[in-house]
Amino acid sequence: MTVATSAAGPGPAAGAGAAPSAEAAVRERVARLERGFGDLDDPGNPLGAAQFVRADAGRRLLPAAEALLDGFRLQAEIVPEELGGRLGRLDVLARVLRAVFRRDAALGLACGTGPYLAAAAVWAGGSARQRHRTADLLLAGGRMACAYPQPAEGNAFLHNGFTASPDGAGYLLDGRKEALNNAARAASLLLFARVDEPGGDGHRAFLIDAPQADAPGFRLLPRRSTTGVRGCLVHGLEFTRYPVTADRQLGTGTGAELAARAFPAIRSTGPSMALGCADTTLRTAVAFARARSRASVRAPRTRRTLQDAFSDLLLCDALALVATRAAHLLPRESATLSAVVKYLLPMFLTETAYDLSAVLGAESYARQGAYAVFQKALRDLPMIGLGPAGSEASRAAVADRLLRLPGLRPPPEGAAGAALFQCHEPGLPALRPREFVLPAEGDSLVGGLEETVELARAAGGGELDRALAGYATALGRELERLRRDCALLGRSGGPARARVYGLVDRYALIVAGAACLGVWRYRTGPDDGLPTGPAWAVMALARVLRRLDPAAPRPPASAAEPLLTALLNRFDDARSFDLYATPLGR
Amino acid sequence: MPHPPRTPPPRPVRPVTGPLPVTDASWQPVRRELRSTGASVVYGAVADWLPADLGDPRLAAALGQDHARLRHLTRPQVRRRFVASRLLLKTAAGAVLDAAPEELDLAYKPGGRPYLRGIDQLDVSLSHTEELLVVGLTRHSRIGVDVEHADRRMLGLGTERQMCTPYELEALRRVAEDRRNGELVRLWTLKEAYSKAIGQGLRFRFTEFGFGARGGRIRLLRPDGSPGVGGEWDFGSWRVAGRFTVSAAVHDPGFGGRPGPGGRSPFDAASTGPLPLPDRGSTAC
Repeated sequence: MTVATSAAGPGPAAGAGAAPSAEAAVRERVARLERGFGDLDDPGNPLGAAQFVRADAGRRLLPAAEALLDGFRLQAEIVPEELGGRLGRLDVLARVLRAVFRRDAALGLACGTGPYLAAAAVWAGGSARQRHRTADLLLAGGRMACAYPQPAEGNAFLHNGFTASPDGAGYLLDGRKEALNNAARAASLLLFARVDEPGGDGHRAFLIDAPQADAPGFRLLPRRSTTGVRGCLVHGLEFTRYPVTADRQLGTGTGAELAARAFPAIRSTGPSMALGCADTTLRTAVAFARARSRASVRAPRTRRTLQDAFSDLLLCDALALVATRAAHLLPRESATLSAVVKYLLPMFLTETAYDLSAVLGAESYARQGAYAVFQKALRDLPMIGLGPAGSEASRAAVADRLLRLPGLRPPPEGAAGAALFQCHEPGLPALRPREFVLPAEGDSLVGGLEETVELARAAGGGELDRALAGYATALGRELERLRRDCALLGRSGGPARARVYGLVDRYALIVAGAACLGVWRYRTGPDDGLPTGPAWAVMALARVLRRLDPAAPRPPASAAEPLLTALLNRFDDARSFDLYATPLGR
Repeated sequence: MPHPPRTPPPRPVRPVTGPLPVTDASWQPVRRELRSTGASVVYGAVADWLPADLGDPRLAAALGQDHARLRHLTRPQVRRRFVASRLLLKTAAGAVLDAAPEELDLAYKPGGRPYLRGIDQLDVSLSHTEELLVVGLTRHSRIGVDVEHADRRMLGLGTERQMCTPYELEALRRVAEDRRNGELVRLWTLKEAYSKAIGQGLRFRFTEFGFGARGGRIRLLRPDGSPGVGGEWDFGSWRVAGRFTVSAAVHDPGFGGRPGPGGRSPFDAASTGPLPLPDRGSTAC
């Protein structure tokens, strides 16, 4: 089976011989960051949970944590290797940033995700000079902020109304945006502005140096308080006939095209980083259950909640892994896969955190003490996806795909192969953002589902194998049902949008299930960090199926119990609750 | 704070014997309220939302996946309530979204929480007694609603010890005896509403969180009376038709939606238009 790459691109970033050393280098980086942060649960740790909770209450970032990230040169993680940074693969970028999100989502957003949202557009469409200047700025520790075009019905974070009017050789910038993370301390701003010129009704992107506070035509609006990620410095910006020279335009095409080239890299990695935040909610719930007799891990309801939460995290990671690797391997399909991640992950992770709040009970509201980090994460998680308006464009992107590719069959090159699913496999081609905007010729992931279902059915005769075969078969049936419903859409005149969005949700869930089955199918062995055997895949598929069909059966105890054991072992060994089982700082 | 439930929504044409009132002007107050406050609670009588014939084949299209569940329900009263509540919910949501109710797929999270599949911009919640249906709608992130008979006997049955925090028990003792049962019912509906909003049903033990007034607002408190959740949660309780207690819990993570002076508000309070579904061309990271 070959991996479907839609165009001949550069070869793998690392040859086969370099594989072990590439993985070792990634592990070393993550380990260094984890060591630097130390034990999150140690009240005496200046970078422990208690300090982050206190900083959050004070609406600031923890200075010692920022210093650590500066020393680590965190922003090198978002600068491509060829420009002097450490960014080679998106799955690795997310994996490294999880260490930061495990401590504090605000820190991750301010020092990693925020600048990356801006930088990704520069890597995707900037001139050589813009790319080099941005790389130099980020490598020197300079921050970036950005304002992408607004959706039809936005919110304060997405709402922006910049316009750029031609003025001599350049433009005059007008308008305001209400809420930009890092706006007050960014050295460089990426702004999408509607261009008011004959024949042009679209957006252009501009990469400008942040104006001085007293610059004419510029106003930094007062800081906005937020209910989550309270340490982030969120401000509005206002421009009034602010001059921008023509060479500040980013790329030569339209803003929409540039954004479309940046989205797959952004939408697949951002929510994947946030898995670190969800990791902390689960860890806190396990710590609570272990410490208290009244909600001990022996109570069936607690056991089930913990099992389900771990299953959800693994499921989310399988999906995020596929989407981040697809950006390299299946660039034409990555617009859709990354949109699925952006739609599902914030929703899953927030729901999981609420489920876990029932385990903690009153302690889920604690403002101080051993469990206070939980209520902070519960406030932070809903902010990460920016709510319904944040997922709106992603749902629209998937809807577009369902209308154009109702068959959801594999492309001519065949279904996705092992490289898409193996989290430690380093041989990924470099990103080719230009191909993100080319139409997909098929669906490599969902299109290959039948074959994987057949494989699952042939796996063996044990109870777990039978359960996996059962769930895989049910997922295959859901795909058939989706194909039928998509085909029916095509027949009616203009498809009803509400119905299309129902199908988007079902498609996204099927993609998540297919990602789990792919990771199960191409597992590399006992050292890959996954709980051994198909138990985790059975549990993850059960979670997906239950969302597709409330009548889906609960998984057998023979799947749930090993997963709980694996969860408790990871808790005791201080390892992350994702596909990597990363050793955490102690 | 969520506003008190609206007077009953427009009395529908019997749901499956004629077109549902999706664009009926009488839904405009609900739209307006959603745009200005972000949430709306509507209620209706089971009898008003019941189709003449539960065996009508058109009910399958109106109920979608729920129609299969209906087949497993046997008690007539339960069947009637099930159908009427789903029709009210989908009609209300359709009116707000400018979509035909049968285009909406009412689905359930693994914990049983209802949601409109793929429609992130509108969260829903549902509650009912024998005769009253209550539907909560919000364009913020989450809503939960609950209704009980205001005179449902709870006091003196040991219920208060199973559902109240120490702080609430103390507060209850200070309530005049003739109002104490009603207060207990109100606390119960608040707890139900919040639990439903976070998708937990009765899984989150009611003795682990409580309610009390702080600064003129209903606030969620820890068992000892210290603050629980912050200002991102709004709670409200009302008496409806003189004999029902209704409570709602609304979560607003604070993305805003109503920019300050000078900004164009995407949720213009004066607008009564539907909440738009995303356009294919919309862009946001």
